[in-house]
Amino acid sequence: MGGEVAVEKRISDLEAVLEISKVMAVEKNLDALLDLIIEKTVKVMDAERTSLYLVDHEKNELWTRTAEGLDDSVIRVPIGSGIAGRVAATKQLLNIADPYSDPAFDRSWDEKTRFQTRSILCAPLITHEDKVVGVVQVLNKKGRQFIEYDESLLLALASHAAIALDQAELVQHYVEKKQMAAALRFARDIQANVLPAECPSVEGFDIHGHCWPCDETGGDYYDFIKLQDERLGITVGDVTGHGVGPALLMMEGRSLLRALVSLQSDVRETVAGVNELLAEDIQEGMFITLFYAVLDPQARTLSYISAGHEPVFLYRGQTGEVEQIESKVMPVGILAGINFPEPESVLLDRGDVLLLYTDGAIDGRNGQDEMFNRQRLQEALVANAQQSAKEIVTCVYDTIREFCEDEALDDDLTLVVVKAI
Amino acid sequence: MAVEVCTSELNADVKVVQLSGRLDMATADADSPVVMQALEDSAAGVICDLAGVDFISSAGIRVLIAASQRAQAASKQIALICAQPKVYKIFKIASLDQMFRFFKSESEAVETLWT
Repeated sequence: MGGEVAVEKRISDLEAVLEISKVMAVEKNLDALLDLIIEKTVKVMDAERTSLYLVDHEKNELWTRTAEGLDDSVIRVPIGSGIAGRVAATKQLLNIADPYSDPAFDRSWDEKTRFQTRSILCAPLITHEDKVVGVVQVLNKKGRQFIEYDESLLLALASHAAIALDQAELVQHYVEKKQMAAALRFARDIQANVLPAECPSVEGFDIHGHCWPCDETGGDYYDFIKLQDERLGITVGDVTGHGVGPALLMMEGRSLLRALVSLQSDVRETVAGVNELLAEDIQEGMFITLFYAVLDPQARTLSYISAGHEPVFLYRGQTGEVEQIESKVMPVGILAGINFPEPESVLLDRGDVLLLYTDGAIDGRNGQDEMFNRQRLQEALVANAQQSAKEIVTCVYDTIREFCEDEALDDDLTLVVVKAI
Repeated sequence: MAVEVCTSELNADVKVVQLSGRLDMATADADSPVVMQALEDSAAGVICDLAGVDFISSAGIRVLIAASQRAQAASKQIALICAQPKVYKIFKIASLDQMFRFFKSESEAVETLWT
């Protein structure tokens, strides 16, 4: 595979490689860089066609998104298989003068594209850290076979291309990560906007709520809905899990509940309606624990249904005792057609404090792996029951965080306090 | 959380999945495929032995609900056995004791559901 190449040609090629290297070094867009490498390689190598494969390390495959002459075709090759796969596996250049006599050659692409491969020069793209990031394959040297000089030239091009590709991939990962973070922040902002901007002012009651998501987005929510006759709908929901999926389900649950409340005011019909609609399209295993109540400030009553939600604490101002309002029916979204019970009702006297919460308020653990638990939450309520609703929320949250030694939240945490004044 | 799967000695059509430790967000993604595979491999259903489970969060419950829903769709059954009182209480609080069949032992579950 020897052969003489004129000095002028060698100098011209060297200048071309240096020029290509400069252009590749500044191109950080991966797609544009792939096109550039193919375009320049086919020209410098004076060949008919060039393919560029990238390594998919997770699948241990080579893949190409751009194969000159193959339009939008995408080829995937297991590393170790075929000519390009063999080059990636061995990190050794291959110069094949008669591809059709090589059993590793896949002639089906020639048949598909009506192309005649007469010679192949295939080089690995290896970074300084000896990592194979791809393979460049050049087909059909014009006028002759590939010679030793072509091998050196392609290896020189390949080494520059490898560094440029490695950097471009790093940049792309960084950009994608930044875009993902921006998308999540956007989702968080949307979600934060559907939480009440301010707590409602209701005659005879002091009301406050707050939600602390553990991720950018969460599965917890609370809501206050103004109803007729100065009544107030109060809801706390907890979707299984946290992150984008539960956050979307939370948004759906909230929208359904609000839509149903606008159509009718019955507590049972509202919760049953949310259940029926959610059960139709909810993902397998997902559910929402939901506490929905209507506060009637004139009658000073709270009518409620708890669908699988954590027991709500009711601190009685006159006695200092704490009652628990427990769920009587399973969470919404699991099973259509279940029979929801009639709502129950409690009378709220001055000094009574209702604490609604999600399981993030009780499941947090300290360094000794002890859970904060319901008992400690109840004690935190009792210790702060004389304060305003906002102060109770803040103090209970601080007590939980202090117990958990300010470790990052494992789950979303929501607290809502309704205090009769 | 460790998961072990075997065929019930009382009924070869039933798989027994032994769960242990904490079934929560950190373990649910790994455990769910094991429970689902046991359900798929069984002719009649799965017994989830909760004797070794000392805590189950809503994410853990989700694994069992998903299995229960898939079992129902395939005309199979899911039984939960040997739940510690504190674990059963978690189901009870969420009113999910209405959704699952709880038994004291494997033999009681097999006798009730698969005989």
